[in-house]
Amino acid sequence: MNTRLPKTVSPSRKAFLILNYLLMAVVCLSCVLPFVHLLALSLSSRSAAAAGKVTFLPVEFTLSSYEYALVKGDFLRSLGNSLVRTFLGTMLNLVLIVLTAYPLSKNRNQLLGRNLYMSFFVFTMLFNGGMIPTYLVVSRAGLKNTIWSLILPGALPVYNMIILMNFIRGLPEELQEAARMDGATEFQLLYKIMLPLLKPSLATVGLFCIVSHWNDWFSGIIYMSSRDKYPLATYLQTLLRSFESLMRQAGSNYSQLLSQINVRTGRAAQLFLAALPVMLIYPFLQKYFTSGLTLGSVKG
Amino acid sequence: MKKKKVLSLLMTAILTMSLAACGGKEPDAGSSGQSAAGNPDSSQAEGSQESPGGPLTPYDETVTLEVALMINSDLNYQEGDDITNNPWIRGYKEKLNIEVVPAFTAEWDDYFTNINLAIVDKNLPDVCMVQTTQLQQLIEADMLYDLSELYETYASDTIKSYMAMEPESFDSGKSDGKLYGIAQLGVGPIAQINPVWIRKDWKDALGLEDPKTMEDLIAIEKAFQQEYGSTGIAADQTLTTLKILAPAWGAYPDIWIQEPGGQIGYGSIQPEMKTALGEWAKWYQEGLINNQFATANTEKLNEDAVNGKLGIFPFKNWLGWTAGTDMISNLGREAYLEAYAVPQATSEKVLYPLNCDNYTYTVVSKNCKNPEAALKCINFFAYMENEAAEDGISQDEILSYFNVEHAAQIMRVQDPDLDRSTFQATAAAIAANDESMLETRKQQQAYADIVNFTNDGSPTAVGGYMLWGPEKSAYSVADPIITAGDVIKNKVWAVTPDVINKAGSTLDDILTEGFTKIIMGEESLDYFDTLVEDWRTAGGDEATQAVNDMYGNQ
Amino acid sequence: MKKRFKREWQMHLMLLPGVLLVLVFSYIPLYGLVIAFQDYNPGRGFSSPWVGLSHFRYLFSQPNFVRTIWNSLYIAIFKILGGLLASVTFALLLNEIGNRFLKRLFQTLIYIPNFLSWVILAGVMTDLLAGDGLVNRLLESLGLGAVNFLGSPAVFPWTMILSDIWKGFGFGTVVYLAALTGIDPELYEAARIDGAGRMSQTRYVTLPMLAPTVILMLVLSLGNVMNAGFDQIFNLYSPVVYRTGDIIDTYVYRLGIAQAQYSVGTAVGLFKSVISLIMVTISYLLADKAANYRIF
Repeated sequence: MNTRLPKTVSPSRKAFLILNYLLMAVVCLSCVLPFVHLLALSLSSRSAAAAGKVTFLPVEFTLSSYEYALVKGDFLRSLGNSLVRTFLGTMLNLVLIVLTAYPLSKNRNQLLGRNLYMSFFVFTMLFNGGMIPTYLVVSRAGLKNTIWSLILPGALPVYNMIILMNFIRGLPEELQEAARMDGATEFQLLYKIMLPLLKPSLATVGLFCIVSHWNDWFSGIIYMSSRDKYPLATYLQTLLRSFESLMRQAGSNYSQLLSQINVRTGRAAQLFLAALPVMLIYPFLQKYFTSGLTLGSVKG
Repeated sequence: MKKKKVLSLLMTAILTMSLAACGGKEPDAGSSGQSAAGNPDSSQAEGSQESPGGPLTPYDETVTLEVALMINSDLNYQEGDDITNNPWIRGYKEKLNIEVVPAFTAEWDDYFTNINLAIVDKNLPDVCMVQTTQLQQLIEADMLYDLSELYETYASDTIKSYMAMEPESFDSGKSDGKLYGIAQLGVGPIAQINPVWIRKDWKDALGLEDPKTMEDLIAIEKAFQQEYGSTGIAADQTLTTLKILAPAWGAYPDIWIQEPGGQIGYGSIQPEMKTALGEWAKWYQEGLINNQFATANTEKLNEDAVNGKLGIFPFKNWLGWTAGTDMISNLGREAYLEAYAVPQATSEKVLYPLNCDNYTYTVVSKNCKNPEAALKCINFFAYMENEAAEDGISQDEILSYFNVEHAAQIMRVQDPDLDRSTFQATAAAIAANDESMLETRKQQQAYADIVNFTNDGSPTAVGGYMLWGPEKSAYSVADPIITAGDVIKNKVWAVTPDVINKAGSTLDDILTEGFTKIIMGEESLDYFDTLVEDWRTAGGDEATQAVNDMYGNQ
Repeated sequence: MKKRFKREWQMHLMLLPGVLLVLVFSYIPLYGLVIAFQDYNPGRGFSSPWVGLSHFRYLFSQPNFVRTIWNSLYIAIFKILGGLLASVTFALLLNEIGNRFLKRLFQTLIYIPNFLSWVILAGVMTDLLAGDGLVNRLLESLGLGAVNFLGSPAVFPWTMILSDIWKGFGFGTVVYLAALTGIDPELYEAARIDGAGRMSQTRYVTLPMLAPTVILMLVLSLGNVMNAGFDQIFNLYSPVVYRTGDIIDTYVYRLGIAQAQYSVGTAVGLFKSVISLIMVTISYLLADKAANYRIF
C-alpha cells in the first residue's frame, strides 16, 4: 500500500495519520497492560498479591508460582503431549479442511449434491448431541487414552472450513479452467495449483486450529484416565482446580496447603506457561497472512 | 477425652485379639467370608477361594482391586512416589495383600465428571467415591454391590464406632434397608460452627470489651470506623457472612427447620429472616456494612482485610490460612483475628445451624470380585490413624502415611470426632506445657502451630493458631457450643428430594437477589413478602411438600 | 449422470473422509438429544422413561428463565454488531499505517487479549472497575462521576458487551486486514484516475470489496446468537445484576448441571440450537437476497 502514498502529504492527511498512530498506540496499550499486570502478578509474592499491591511491576519478586507448576513434575511431559497433539491435530485439520473446502467451493452444477453436502456440514455447527453420547462414541471406538480421542472428534472444524471455502471462491476461475484444459485431474489441480495459492489463508486458518487445540483442556479430562497423558492446558487447569476445590472443602485437613499458594498468582503463572508457546508462534504465522489473504487478490 | 481413650484401648484389645485369632487359623474364617459375599458370581471369582478373614486379615493370595483414585496436586509425595505408588498403596499390598490398581486418576471436580461418564458407560471401577446424586443413580441402575452383610462381618469396630456417632449419615448410604454406600463422614460438627472474627490489635488498642450482644458488635464496628477507617462489617454478594449472624435473630437461612405448626419449612422465608434483613438494611444505610458488598466476593473481602479496611469478619474457621496469613505478613504480627461466638440480638440463646457434612460415599461395583477388600482398606486407614502407634509401628512410619493422607481419600472414613478431640488434647497439652501429652500427628501439628505463632508470630502458623488456639480461636468458640448442644440440625440430611436438585440454586437465587435489594434499600422491607410468594410459585411450595414427604414426622 | 460422475468422482472422494468423520463423531452422538425428552438416569442410559416436553415446560414455567433469553439475545447481538464495527474500523485504520514494522506490531498486540481467559481477566477487571478502582479514579479526576460497572443492572450488560468487544476484536481485525491486503491495487488506481479522494476510495472500493467477508463473518457469528458468553458473565456477575445480566447459560448452570441434570441441560441446548438455526437461516437468506452473496 506504500506505493499508493502520494509524495506530498496534505495537512489534513497528516493530522489523520498522527491521530491514527495515537489511537493505535492507546488501543494497543490497553491490550498489553492487563498482560503486563498479570506477568507482574505471577512474579509477586502471595501476600503482596492478596493486598492488591501489584500493578505493573512485581512486588516482592518470587518465582514460587512457577515452581508450583514446574517443579510438580509432569509439566514437561504434558508440554510434550500438547506439542504432539497440536501438531498432529492441526495437520489433520488442515488436510481435511482443504479436501472438503475445495469441492464445496464449486457450485451445484459442477458438483452433484454440493448443497446437500454443505447442509450436512453446517447442521453440525448448530446441533450437537452433547458430552455424553460423544464420549460413548469415542469410548466404544476404543480411542480412550489415545491421542486420537483428542484429535478425531473435532477433526473437521466446519467454521474454519467455511472460511477457507470462501477464500477459494474468491480465486479467479480461469486458473482452474486452464489446468483442466491441460488434462489435470482434480487431485493434481488441488495439489499443484490451489495449494500454493492457499498458503496465506491456510496460515490464518492454521492459527485458529493451533490455538483451539492448544487451549482445549476439557477433552483431556474426559478421555485421558491418567495425568501423564494430559495435554498442558488440562494439566495446568487441574492444578488450579485442585486449589479451588481445596478452598471449598477446606477443613483442618487441607489447611497447611492453603497458606502456601494463592489462586491469583497461581492463575497468572498458569496463563504465561500456557499461552506463551502459541504467542511465540503467532508472529511467524502473521508474516504469511499479511502477505495477502486471497479474497480475489490473485491476478491471472 | 477420657471416653475416647477408653474407647481406643478397647478397640486395640479387640483388634489384637482378632488379629491373633486370624493369624492362627485361617481356614474357617474362609467359609464365613464366602457366605458373607452372598453373590453367586463371586464364588467362581479368583480370590474368593481363600480366606478373606477378619477386618484386617491379609489375603493369602494377592487380590487385585481396581480403584478410581483422586489426585490432589498439592500433596507433597516423596521422591518417586505419586498417586499410584505411595505409602498407602504399598501398605494395602504389604499389610493386606491387596493390590490397588488405578482405574483412572483425576482431580476433585474432574473425578466426579469421570464417575458420571463411567456410570453412563456402565463401566464402574471396583471401588470408587461418589456424590449423593450419583449414589442414588447407581442404586436405581442396580450397579452397586449390596454391602449390608459384608459390613457387619468386615467393618472394624473403629469404623462402626464412627458410624454410631453419625447414624443419620450412615443411613444415608442405604436404600430399602440395604447398604450400598459407606458414608465417608466429615470432620464433625465442630468444623461447622462459624465464628465472628474480630481484629485483635484494633480491639486491644481501643480497650473494647468482648461482644455479648449485637449492640456491642455494632459499637465495636463504629469504634473501628472512627479510629481505623474500617469500611464496614464484611459482607459479600452471596450474603454468606451476614447469614452467619442470622441466628442472632432466630433466623436460619438455607436450612430446613421445624416450623411452629410442626411442618418443615425453609429457614430463609421465615418471619425471623425478615427481622434480620430489616436490621441489615439499617446497617447498610448507616454505613456499617461495605457499600460495595453486592459485587464483592470472598477474594475481595480478604483483600480488604489485608489492606486494613476490615475489622469484623464473620467467616469459616479456616480464615487464618487465607486472610490471616497475609494480614500478618502485611500488617504486623498482632494484626490477626480473634474468634467470638455470634452475639445475641434477642433474649433467646443463639443456636448454630448444622448440615450433613458428608458428601461422598465409598461404593463397590456389583461386578467386584472381592468386595470385602474395600472394607479392609477402609479399616486400614482407621487402624493407622488410631491403633498403629500402640501396635508398635514407629511414629516415622505413621507420619509417612499421613503426610499424604489424601492419597487414601477414596477408601477412608474419618473420625467424626477427630477435630474436637484433637482440639481438646492440644489445649490440655498447651495448658500443661507438656509436649509429651500429644498422641497423634494432628495434635502435634496443631501444637507446633500454636507454639510457633506464639513465639515467632510466623505467618504460616497463624492459620493453625486461629483454628486450634487455646483461646479465642475458632475451635475454642465452637467446642462449648457443641458440648452444650446449642445447634439446630437441617431437617434435610444428605439425601435431597429430586425437585430441589432439579432447581439447583435458582430457588435460592430468587431470595438472594431480593435480599440484596432490601439491604441496599432499593426495595422496602415488605418486599420480603412478595419475594416469599415468588419463591413459592417458582417451585418453593413443591420443594416444601417434597421435604415434608421425605423427612416429615421423624 | 454417468458422465457426470466420471467427471466429478474425485471431488466426491475428497469429501469422503470429512463426511465419514463428521458422521461418526457429530451425527451418531445426535441420538443423545433424546434425553431432552426423557427423565434421564445415567445408569439406565437411553432407555430412561419418556416424559415428552415436560423439561421444556418446566423451563418456561420458571419465572426467571424467559428474561434470561432476552438478556442473552440482547447481549449477544450487541457483542456481534459491536465486534464487527470495531474490527472493520480497526482493520481500515491499521491499513493506513505506512510503517510496516509498526503495522505488524500493532497487529500482534491487539491479538493478545485473545490469549487471556475470562477466568483470569475477570480478576483483573474486578480490580480495575471497582468503586475505588483505577478506571473510576480516572473518571473522577476527569470530573466525570464514578460508574458502578459491575453492580448496576443498567450498566452491567454494557460492561460485558464492551469488554467482550475489546477482548475479541483482534481476531476479526486479522481476518479483515487479510481481506484488505487482498484487494487488487488496480481498483484503487482506477478510482484515483476517476478523481476519487481517500474517503470515496474507501467508500466505493474498500467497503464493497470487504462486504463478502463481513457477511461471511456476520452469518457465522449468528450461529452463536444464543451464546452470550458464559465464561465472561459467570465470572463477573452477582445477584444484584441478575435482572439484566443473567443469561441462559449461567441460569442453566445454576439449575444444577453440576448435579448431573442432563435432561434439562440437553433441553436447553436443543432450544438454543433451534433458535440459532432460525437466525442463521434468516441471515443467510437475507444475504443471498439483498447482496446476492451465498456464504455456504
